[in-house]
Amino acid sequence: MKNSLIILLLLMCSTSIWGQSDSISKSNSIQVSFGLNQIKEKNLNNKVHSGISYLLKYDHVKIKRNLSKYNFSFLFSKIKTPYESASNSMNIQLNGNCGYLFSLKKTKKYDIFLGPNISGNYRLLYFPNWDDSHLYWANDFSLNISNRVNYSLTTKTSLLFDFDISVLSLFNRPELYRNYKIDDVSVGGIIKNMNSNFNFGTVNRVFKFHFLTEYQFQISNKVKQAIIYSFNYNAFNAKESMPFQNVIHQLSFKIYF
Amino acid sequence: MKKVSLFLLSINLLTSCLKDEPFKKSFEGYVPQQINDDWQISNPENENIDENLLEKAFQLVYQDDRFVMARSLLVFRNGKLVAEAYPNNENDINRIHNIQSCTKSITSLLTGIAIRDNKINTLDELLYSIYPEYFDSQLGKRSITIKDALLMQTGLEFNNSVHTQQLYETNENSIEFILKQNQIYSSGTIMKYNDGAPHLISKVIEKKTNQTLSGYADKKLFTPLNITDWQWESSKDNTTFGAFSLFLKPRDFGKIGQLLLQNGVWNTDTIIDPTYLNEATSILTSANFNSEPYGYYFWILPSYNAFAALGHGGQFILVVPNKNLVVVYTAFPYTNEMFWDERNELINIIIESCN
Repeated sequence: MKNSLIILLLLMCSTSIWGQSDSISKSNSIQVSFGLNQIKEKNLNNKVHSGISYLLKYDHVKIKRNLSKYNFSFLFSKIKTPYESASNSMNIQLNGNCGYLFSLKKTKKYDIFLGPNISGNYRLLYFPNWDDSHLYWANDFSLNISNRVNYSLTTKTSLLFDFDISVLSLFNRPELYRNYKIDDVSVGGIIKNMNSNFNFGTVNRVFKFHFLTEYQFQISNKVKQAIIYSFNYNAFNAKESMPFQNVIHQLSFKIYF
Repeated sequence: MKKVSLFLLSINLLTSCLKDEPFKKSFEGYVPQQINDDWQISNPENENIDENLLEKAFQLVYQDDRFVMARSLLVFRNGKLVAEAYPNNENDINRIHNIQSCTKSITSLLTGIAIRDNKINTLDELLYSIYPEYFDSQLGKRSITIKDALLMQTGLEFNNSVHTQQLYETNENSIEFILKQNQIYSSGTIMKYNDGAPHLISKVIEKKTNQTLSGYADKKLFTPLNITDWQWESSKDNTTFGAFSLFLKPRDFGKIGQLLLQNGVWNTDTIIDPTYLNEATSILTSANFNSEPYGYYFWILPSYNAFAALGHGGQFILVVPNKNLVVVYTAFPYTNEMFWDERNELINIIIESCN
């Protein structure tokens, strides 16, 4: 894990590998993804819950000289440990993200942007085989450093790379010792739990890393598509709670409109 | 160079996966910690326990694929703490812990205290005569006695998988909630294990003593046993749950077992009515779902000449009078039955270790 991050950081600093650019002025897109979702919720136990994740995402990007973007996504995943015969546990993630990235370098072949983005993430988990009475969560609102590189391959194909790293987060986690039998699982109760006891933390409390590489291509002049590989790593280490880790590898298909 | 970097990056990312870690700490022995509480510490040799067998029991609890959610195992013999271990976290020694349905046995025990205290005169008393205001118009329910509730023979259709959560969450009167369920059998006929009946007993004790079950427990049970750190959840109408959600430290859980072993006598004081306790821990009925012998909220284990309080997660207090033995096992209290532990094998080994 650390090696990946070091390599990625080096790549972020190294602009020499990128070629010339061809930027998009304005785009909307819908993305459908599936992938591998892994979760280690140490409030529960030290085992990794894994499963296939399904994601739907809407993305908007606008480029003048600088780049502004926002997106929303919904992820659903049924997960299990090797100790369970069926995937009864589940993970739902809601994500919203907006950013404003400044143009660092612009050539005919490539554009490089760097700037802040703000993300809000709700991760709700239910592990009925391990804890049939309580919900688990790892939510955050984070200020991130975001980097984007658009690299033009041909007139109809291009590559895009995104890197995001969290800097400062407002986050909440359930307490390790919940001295009550059953969580309030009404809609109001879930909303209340998911939005209470937020704390501030820097990377020592919440570390989030996102990497994405996208290959854009056009089958016709009107429609542009892309295939994407993305990697997300989220780690929480709250005071009243045990660590939480989440890794998601995803392959996606995206249609621009 | 660029291609190599990208290739390495790709490989690295694609292989970035989380790794499993062991469920528990590695086995570090079972020598009790010296803390300033009321327990006298001893060792297996002095209490005539086979050390190898005892170690086998503790090893079993530590094994990875079994007893996966274990939190504590404590063995008391001859009134002394002989062995203890906290496989998940050594600080669990000082943490209160939900003992789930073992709570029912404490509610039974408090019934015996209320009898000793002359607050309850007969178990044949009708619940209707104690709190008529909570009954609806169905006449059959008015014949439910304290004894029927203690034997889970109220005949009320209280299904734990549905009604326990409703009981926990209801904003209405919790006793009315239980009593409004259909009566599908005549009271006193068929045992149906459920969380509703002990809640009815909680209200009986509350009415008889003019204090909540938890308040009464504090005064008459926890204070005499010097149990100071505890918690007991209540329904929203402030009726202590008679069936679940008593939180105790593992060693204090052991004190309850020791009190039972001593026939309800603590130091020189008789706390629990001995006749009631003897009856409560005798075979009075059998459970509807597994045919196991049952007393007044105690499970009877005839093959060991023992009785036990059992709770969700595989938790138990085992009392074996002829071995002068108490065993406490706690586990994560909310785990589904598929991860419940192989309790009988553990009990077998520990009882066998006692010469």
